[in-house]
Amino acid sequence: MKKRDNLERIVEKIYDTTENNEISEFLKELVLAEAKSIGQWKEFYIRKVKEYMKKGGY
Amino acid sequence: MRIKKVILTNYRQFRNATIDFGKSKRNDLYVIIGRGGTGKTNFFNAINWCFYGKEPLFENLKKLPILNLKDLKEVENSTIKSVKVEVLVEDEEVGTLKFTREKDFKPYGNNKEPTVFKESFSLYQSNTGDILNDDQASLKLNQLFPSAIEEFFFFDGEKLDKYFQENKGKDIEGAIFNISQLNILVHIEERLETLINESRRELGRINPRIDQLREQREHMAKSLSDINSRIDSTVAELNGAKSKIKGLREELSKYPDVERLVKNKDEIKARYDEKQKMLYDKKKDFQDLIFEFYKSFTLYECIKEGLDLIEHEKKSGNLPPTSDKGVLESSLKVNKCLICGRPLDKESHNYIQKIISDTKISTEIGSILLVIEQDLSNYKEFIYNFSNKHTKINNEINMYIKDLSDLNKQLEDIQYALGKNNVDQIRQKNQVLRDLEELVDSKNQDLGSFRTSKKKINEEIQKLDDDIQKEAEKVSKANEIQGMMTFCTESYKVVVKAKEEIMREIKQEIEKSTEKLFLDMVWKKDIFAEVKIDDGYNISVINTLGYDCVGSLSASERLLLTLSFIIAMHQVSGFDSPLLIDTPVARTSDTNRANLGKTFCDISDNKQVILLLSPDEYSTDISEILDKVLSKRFNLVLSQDKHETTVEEVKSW
Repeated sequence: MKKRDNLERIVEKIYDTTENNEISEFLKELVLAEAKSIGQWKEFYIRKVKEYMKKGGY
Repeated sequence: MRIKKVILTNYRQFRNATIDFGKSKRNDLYVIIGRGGTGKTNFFNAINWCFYGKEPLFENLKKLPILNLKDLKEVENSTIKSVKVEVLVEDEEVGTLKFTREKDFKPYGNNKEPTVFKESFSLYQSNTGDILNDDQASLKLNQLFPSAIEEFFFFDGEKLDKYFQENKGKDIEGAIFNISQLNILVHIEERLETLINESRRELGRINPRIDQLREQREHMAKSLSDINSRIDSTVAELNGAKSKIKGLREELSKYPDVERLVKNKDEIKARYDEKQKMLYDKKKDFQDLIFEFYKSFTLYECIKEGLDLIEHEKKSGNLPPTSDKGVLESSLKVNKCLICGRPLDKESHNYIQKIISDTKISTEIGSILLVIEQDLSNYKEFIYNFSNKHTKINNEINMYIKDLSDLNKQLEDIQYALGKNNVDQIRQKNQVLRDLEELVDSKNQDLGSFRTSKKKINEEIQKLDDDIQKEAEKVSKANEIQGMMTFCTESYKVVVKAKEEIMREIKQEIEKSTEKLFLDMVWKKDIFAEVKIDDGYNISVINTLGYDCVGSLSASERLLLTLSFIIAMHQVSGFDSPLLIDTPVARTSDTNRANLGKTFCDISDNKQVILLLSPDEYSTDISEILDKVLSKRFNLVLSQDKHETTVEEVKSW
């Protein structure tokens, strides 16, 4: 198994764990970003939370 | 990811050596062969030194300076000299990376030790042309070869057989988190939690009741964290104690149960003493019988005559006597009947005379004969029954002697079993085992109580969350924050669940893969049924009788088990790194060694494997298998003066 397969497994598991599309998409983006490391994590997270909340109509 | 080339300059006995791991066959497999002292371990150390600035196989040992001894002499002559190790790594995603660690030495100081003038660590990235120095280079290195898990890709085969004797569960769990990249989920989990807490604070500022509930919740969260720490430390203590109990039970199973033997010995000794006393009493009975018989037997003729006489007198009607001869004779003397007092006439006188002459036994003798008749009969009876009594007592004595002999044999057997072993030491170990079992009981009780507390705290937290939610819903301004908090909380729960499920799946896959690899490699495969890994990452090997036999595996089997486990971790966790093993087969032989060779062939099909072996280790058992698929084979050759090793690539084998 290659390193990128680990990320695929994590993302796949997230999709299996929730039926909420916004949450799984949001977490997938976080996983991929964290794999490359995030500089200003808090701003990034808040921006993404707001973005996906809007998509999901929260 | 694979090691492409290693260049050593003035590193210990490698004055100027290059090892090019260019792949020439399908299998990415390399063998470096060197006799003791030629530098196999130093080659292993050189890569570790380049990457992490340390030499693991030299830890806690006094060692020569890292600078080559020939160069050391030049340093003495005031020339600055450098030690340099360069490791070139290639990866599909990042291209070729060159890691370089260099140390410059100044001339000897007064203390005669070469002093370090400068040390540097750098990384050159060929695809971008960038050069990263020190911390930045270390950061990049840590993404590719995390120092926390180095022992899972660069390891010493000699140490592998002790791997599972140490309580390594927590390290293994941490390593799996690292190499499966689950630490990404841990980061997300922590960060989402931070956002959720900040949202609560923000809500608290808008609604003071929320702030109050938040404070309570933070207090409960702290209690939860405390109880989790206590649970973790108790579980660690429990695992430690269980691991020691396992070891002690395995060890004690090789010895007899001395406690039971000593108890048996005491019981048998008591029975032995009792039987001995009974034997003594019975022998005394026997002596009394013989003495009695002797008396009776010597008098037998008299007894018989006496009884015959009594019988005869009875038949003659003299016994029992019908008249008292003494009274009759006295009556004649006084010429008067002494019974009725009447004077005797002639006729009466004659009649009494006749009775006296007819009466042969006096009344006194007759009485005596009747009295002794019973005694004489008893003696006669005794003589007739002597044989039965003698046989009975004799049998009883023989039975006691046999019982005593059996008991004595049992005592000797117990004494032999006890004598062969160090009873005090075994008793001490038994005591330690009992203490540990008590500790486990007590810790299990603690754990139960902690878990109950944790459940209550979690319920309390859930209640507070619900209360905060209700309060938050009351405030319209808080809607956005509330929405964010809900979104983050839902996401947080998904992350936690996904992380736990992946961990569980990885554990099961590692268990399955370890079992397959181990049973493929070990030659006594028929006696092993399965390999189990518990929640604390402690490994068990179950034999066909259903017992855990990990503690009684041979050194070679332990090595195969650990290697199976490490390879399984690589396969399952997706860790794409080479395997560099120093002395991988030292403790194996024959079939195990050959099977290990086949396993290295299989692994090197999609992973780089570099093995460092001595010529003895590279016996025909393994070389016949590896030589067919090797990409390259190198020999380490030590110079005449023993200060320099050169690396020769063997062109044909």
